[in-house]
Amino acid sequence: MVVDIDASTVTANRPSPPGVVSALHAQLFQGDVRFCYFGYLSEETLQALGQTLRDALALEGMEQKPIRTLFTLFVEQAQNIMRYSANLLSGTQDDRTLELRHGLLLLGFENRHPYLTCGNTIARADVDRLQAALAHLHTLDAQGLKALHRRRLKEEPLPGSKGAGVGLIDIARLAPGGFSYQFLELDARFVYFTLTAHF
Amino acid sequence: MEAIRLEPTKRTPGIDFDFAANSFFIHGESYPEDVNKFFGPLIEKLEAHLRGLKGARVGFRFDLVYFNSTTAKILMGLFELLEETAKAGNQVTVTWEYAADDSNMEELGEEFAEDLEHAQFNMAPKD
Repeated sequence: MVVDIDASTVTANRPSPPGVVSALHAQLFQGDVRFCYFGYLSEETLQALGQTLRDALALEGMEQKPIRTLFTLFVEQAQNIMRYSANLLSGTQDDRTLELRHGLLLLGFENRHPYLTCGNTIARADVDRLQAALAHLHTLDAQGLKALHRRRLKEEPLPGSKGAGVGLIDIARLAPGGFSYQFLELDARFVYFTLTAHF
Repeated sequence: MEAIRLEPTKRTPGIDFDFAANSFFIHGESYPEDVNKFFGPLIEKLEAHLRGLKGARVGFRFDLVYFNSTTAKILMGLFELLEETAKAGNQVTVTWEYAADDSNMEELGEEFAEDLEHAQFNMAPKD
């Protein structure tokens, strides 16, 4: 099949790949982003990215204690994407049943303090529930978070929860500088959710 | 019951369950791909064994460096099982080892142990 593309229209309407890359790079560089993954996540990528992150931070001279906290939150953020991202591919490939969910994982620095951000698409119908849960976590102090964490570990999983229902509490509990979140409008059905843990 | 020994991997903890000696040890890191698939059979065997004990001395040692939130839920259930074993007339000692500078591991140990009344609990910070 011959596809007739008018090259001039294409280049006029969209930046060429190197243009995207250089703009992206400039932005990441400016934001002091040290690590960024945007794409489908699998258990294999999670393990490899997590290990690389730990190794890189150790080689940069960071102490083990903050590395442990960063790694803990990185895994919870990645698992959040792998469980809840609404942008997913599923099917069978080479006799393997696959479900790959798409998201963003990013480690940056702001005034020399690290921050970890995860982002993924969610269904608009899930926004209220998630927003209420996060707003509630914001009202709790360390003792309140600990009590809620404990209660969640002891009870049956919440409806619609694929994990222990404690990942978000862990992020709130462990991020020394707290957490922030955003819901960005995408279209009628979907919203882009980002969650940042501050150190 | 035959002893269970599993070497630690990057994502699953080392397991050393010596049923004959009632000595149990979990160590390393834990964020398995499928928490229930890894822990399910282990907990099942452990539960079957512990439920049959009376007047026994049981030692359970944890030396975990890192675990994720789904593993935490399994551990909470394990502590409940150990408390029940002690309540049923066994002498149960639970030891929680952690790196002395790891306040999160320390807090989690305390959190798990909060409901232990009959089982003896020891925090064991390591340098």
